[in-house]
Formats: sequence, structure tokens, C-alpha cells
Amino acid sequence: MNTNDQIREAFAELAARAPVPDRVAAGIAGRSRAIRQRRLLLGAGGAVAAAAALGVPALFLWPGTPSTVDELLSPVRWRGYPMPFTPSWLPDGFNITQRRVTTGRPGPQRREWHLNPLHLHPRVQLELKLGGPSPWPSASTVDINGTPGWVSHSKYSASCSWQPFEGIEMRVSVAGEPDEPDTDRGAQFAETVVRIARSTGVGHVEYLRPTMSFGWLPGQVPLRLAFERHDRPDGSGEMASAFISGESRRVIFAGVFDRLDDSIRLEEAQKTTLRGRPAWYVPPDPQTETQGPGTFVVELADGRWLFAATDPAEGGPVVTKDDLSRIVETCRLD
Amino acid sequence: MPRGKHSSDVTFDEYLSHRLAALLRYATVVTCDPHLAEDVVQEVLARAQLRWQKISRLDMPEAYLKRMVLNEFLSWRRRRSAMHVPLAREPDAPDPAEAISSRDALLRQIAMLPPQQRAVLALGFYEGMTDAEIATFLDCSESTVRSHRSRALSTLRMVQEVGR
Repeated sequence: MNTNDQIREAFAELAARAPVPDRVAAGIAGRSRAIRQRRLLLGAGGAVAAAAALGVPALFLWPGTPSTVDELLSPVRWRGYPMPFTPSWLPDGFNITQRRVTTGRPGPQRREWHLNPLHLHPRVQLELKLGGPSPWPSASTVDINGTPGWVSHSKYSASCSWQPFEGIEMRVSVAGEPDEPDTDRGAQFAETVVRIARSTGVGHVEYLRPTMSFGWLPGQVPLRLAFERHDRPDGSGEMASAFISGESRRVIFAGVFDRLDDSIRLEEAQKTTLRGRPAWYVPPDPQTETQGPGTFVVELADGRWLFAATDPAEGGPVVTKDDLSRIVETCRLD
Repeated sequence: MPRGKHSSDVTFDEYLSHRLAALLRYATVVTCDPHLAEDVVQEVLARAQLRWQKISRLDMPEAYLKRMVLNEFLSWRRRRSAMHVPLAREPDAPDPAEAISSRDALLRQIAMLPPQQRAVLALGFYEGMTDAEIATFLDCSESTVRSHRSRALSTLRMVQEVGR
């Protein structure tokens, strides 16, 4: 058999692995709707168009309708982790600054948008949590696309939670400048969070593909792993984080960023070599840090900076300087 | 295409019921990745559905769709230059024979070819197109088609010889 015949046979074999037509056909109508919606958003005037252009990520739709939390949150091989219930409306001018997904198994997710990424406020935050709804006692009820929701507000913030899917609670919150004197924008913010919540849908998905992950971690306690993407003018990059399982406390983290955080002062650090690259060990500052082992920083060949540090917590793992060095050496980068 | 119907009479749903499987096989061959093929075909057909009236009036709507599939795939390649190309069978479907392993090895090599070279091979060896047809399809000259194929075959032969 010559190469040409072998190639024909190989292609025939590959064609036999084609996806099932029924499943593909089932997803086409949904995608058409999404494409129509994208066109409408881009074509519309005012706040919706601005939101679509500036802050709201492109939407995708599933091939089918997920029926379990596992199906809803499991990664798609080449796209990454789905982040469902993406809003198709945000107030004017908000840009996405952070996305976080739990990796390895279904878990919490978080996204943040800022009007000015260099300022903490105003901020829109969208969280996905596993479990049933947990509204504030003082919250009032609203309808979110046929599902009960709960909205509450203070002078400078508002939040709305609802259960759009069995086993999932979504919460969107808006926070303004807390130091604005004599203002009460709570009612306005409450309208905003409800509008954002109503603009989400189960099929409104964006994907986050982890581009870095831990290779080795100390194994004393179970940890929940997460991947984050940060998009900020003062430094964009990716982070792998380990949380105390079931808690929101990040205890170990490693990141690759295009800029080094201003707070890390290499001139006072000890020079070393990690991953075959110039590296620095920044000892813990007794004035500002707890009992952590400090920070390691590596200058990568592509000009980015890899760093790793810990945030010790009660019940969390004890991480030594050697452990942290091993974490840096074994981090997997795409 | 259903017999006895001109393409412009065929509704989008009729087209899907008759030709979707073939389009998916084509996309799988072009992309070398069934998962990516599914996504590419779905995206292309979702767009095509919105202007099906125009597409169905073309002389060869299927050729148009196949070109959309190829363009979508190539744009994916451009967007994700370091894309993972999974070709291994699923773990619960072991290779029934040694021959399949060697075909998989060949497919892996094909998957690593530059996308234009791979497209030329797929259109020629799977779709049975002539050089002239491929050139029209890819909007390039016949000599470019020959050049792509020659380089692709040379790479594959070289890899096979090294592997022996």
C-alpha cells in the first residue's frame, strides 16, 4: 500500500469518528438565536450596545441543554470551563477585570467588571455558587425570568440572588463608592442588579480555559483549586489558586502576569534560580505579612513574571519556603 | 440533496436531514478533531440558517457550506495557534487492530501539518477534488495546490521513513 492509499484510508477512518448529526442539529437553533441576539446587541443604540461592545463577553450556546450541575460546569475539551449565566446587559462602560472558575470538579465561579479597573469601585460582581438560594432576611422578592429572586440594597450597594438551575445559586451585586457623602443610590443599584440578572440565561455562556495549574501542592488538607484570568491596565495575567475546601479563603496562589506588582521589591530580594531562569526570593515582611514563607518571583523567558505566595489560614496547609520553591518549579504553564 | 428537488426548493431542515452527516464527516476530516468539527459545523450552520434563502439559491450550496466550514476552521487556527489536536480514541474504545494504530499515527502526523496543506490533502484524498477544483475552493492557484500537496506528502513520507 502506498502513502496515497494510506492517507485515503486514514481519512475514511477519521470520517467514521464524526459527531452524531442529531446532537449537532439540536444545537443549531440555539446558536442561530445567539447570533441574532449578538447582531441585535451590536446594532442597538445606547446602553445595551455599549455594554455589548465594552464589557460583556461573546456568548456561546451549548449543543444541547444541560440537565445536571456536572453537565453545566464540566470543561469542554478545547474551550475550557463554561461560565454560564453570562449577562447580556451591563451598565455603560463596565469592563471585565476578573474571571475565576473552580477547576477539577464543579465549584464556585466569579466574575467582576469595573468602570475604572484601577479603582475598586464601582464594581459589578457575578457569583455562581453550588447549592440552594440563601437570600438576605431583609430581601424583597422579584421575578428573574420566571424564577423567584431576592434583591436587597444598602446606600452604596445592592445584590440580587436567584436559583436559575437546580443546585446553582447566582448572585449579582453592584457596589458604588462607599465614601460618597450624603448619597443613597441603593434603589438605583437595586434596579441595576435586577436588570443584569434578567439579562442572563442558562445558554449564555463564556468559557475560561486554564493556561496554568499547580503541579505539586502540600497534601495535608483538601484544597479547592481555581483558575483566574485578570484583565487590568496595571497588569494582566493568569493565576492558579488553592482554597481551603468549602471556604473562600485563598491559601496558596501562583500567577503569571505581564507586569510585576509594585509591592514586590526585587532590589531587596535574594537572587536565586528557579525553572532555569533568574528568580528572587522575597522574605516575608514582618510588618505586613503573617507567618507565610514569603514570595518567589521568576522572570520568564517571554518577559512575563511568575510569582507564588501563600496566605496562611487556620485549618490551611503549612507551607514552608522549600514547599513554595517546589510549587514554583512544578507549576504548569501553557 | 433530496431527489427531484432543485436546491432552491430545499428547506434548511431538509438539507440538514439529508446532508448534515456528510458535512460533519467532511469537517472531521478537515479539522482532524471530531469535537472541533461539531462546533465548527454548528457555528457555520447557525449562520447559514439565517441566510438560507440566499444560500439555497446558489448552484452548489453544499460547496458553499464546505467552504464556510473550512474558513471557520482556518480562522479558529488563526485564533488559537497552539490548539490541541486530540486524535486518540476514547479510552473505552480500544484499537481493534494494529492497522488502526498505524492509521492513528498517520492521522496524528496529518493533524500536525499546516492547515492549508492539510486542507489540500482532505479535499483531494477525501473529497476527490481535482487540483483545479481545490484551487477554486481555496482561492489560490493550481501550482499553490500542488506545492501544498507536495510538501505535505514529503513530510508524511519522511515521518513514516523515520518511524520504520
